[in-house]
Amino acid sequence: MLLPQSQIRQKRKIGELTLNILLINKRKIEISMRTLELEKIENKDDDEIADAMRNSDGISKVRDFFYKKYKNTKKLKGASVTDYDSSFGIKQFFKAGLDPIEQYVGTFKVNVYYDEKSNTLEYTIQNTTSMTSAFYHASPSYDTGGPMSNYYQTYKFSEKLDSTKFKKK
Amino acid sequence: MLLYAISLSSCIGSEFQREKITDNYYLITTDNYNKDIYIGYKLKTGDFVGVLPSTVFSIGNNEKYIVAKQHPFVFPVKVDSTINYYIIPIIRDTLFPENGILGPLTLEEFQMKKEELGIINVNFSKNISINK
Repeated sequence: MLLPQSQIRQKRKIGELTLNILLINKRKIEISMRTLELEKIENKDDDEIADAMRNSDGISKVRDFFYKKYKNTKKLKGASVTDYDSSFGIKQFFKAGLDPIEQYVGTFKVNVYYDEKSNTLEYTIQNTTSMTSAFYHASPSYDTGGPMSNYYQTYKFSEKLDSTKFKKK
Repeated sequence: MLLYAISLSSCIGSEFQREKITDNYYLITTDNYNKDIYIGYKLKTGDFVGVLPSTVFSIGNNEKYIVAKQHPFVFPVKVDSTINYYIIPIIRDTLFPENGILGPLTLEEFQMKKEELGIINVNFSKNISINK
């Protein structure tokens, strides 16, 4: 029986949870099944995957870049960062810790758009999972639409613009 | 143990493939040159940010400009058969590599702009065959 995310976070905080590969693999299979079902479907705010990605190292980097890029811009209308690529390397692997979602999604690219109406930043994460990725670059990729071919996922979430971050950068 | 290692590290290591065009400009693909092929710019931090979105299928350059042909790509659905032409000025050390890009242009507009900029001799030297 898998623990809900809230309990995993709580246990992680109090140090009860040690590296449990079986748990990670179970969750990865579960997520894998889910992402296959969700292929071509956009995940919205509050989705568990989007929520995990919100705090990931890759998103932190693109967030920092957005605030740095527009530091001296008075009007943010149309402000965006597109195709920011976030590579999931060894460093990110350890930063992700026990978060199986972050580990599963791995390398992704992100688009960030400023929505003037809601004063929010809209994040769109695009992830391609290929056989090359699944077998750690030891296999070719296919795009036939059949088994073993590439599949593409999109996750979305938004957050309020934090004007104080323009001052820090 | 090996299976554990493969499973655990399924997404470790960059899935992106990058090929330098010139200066900080790279041709980048996330899916082994299937559909998602775009031009990115290497930042001082070592991260990359997009300059021209997918699907770029032909490029060329001189020391001042990159020229590119692109099919619009709606991730992850399909690659449109329309051909857009772009002229990208090469900018060094910037947070706004998308500034000054001319395009999308039709072939006629592209030829006119090339003449205006005096880069008529910049041709498409690299072609990529993609899955539409």
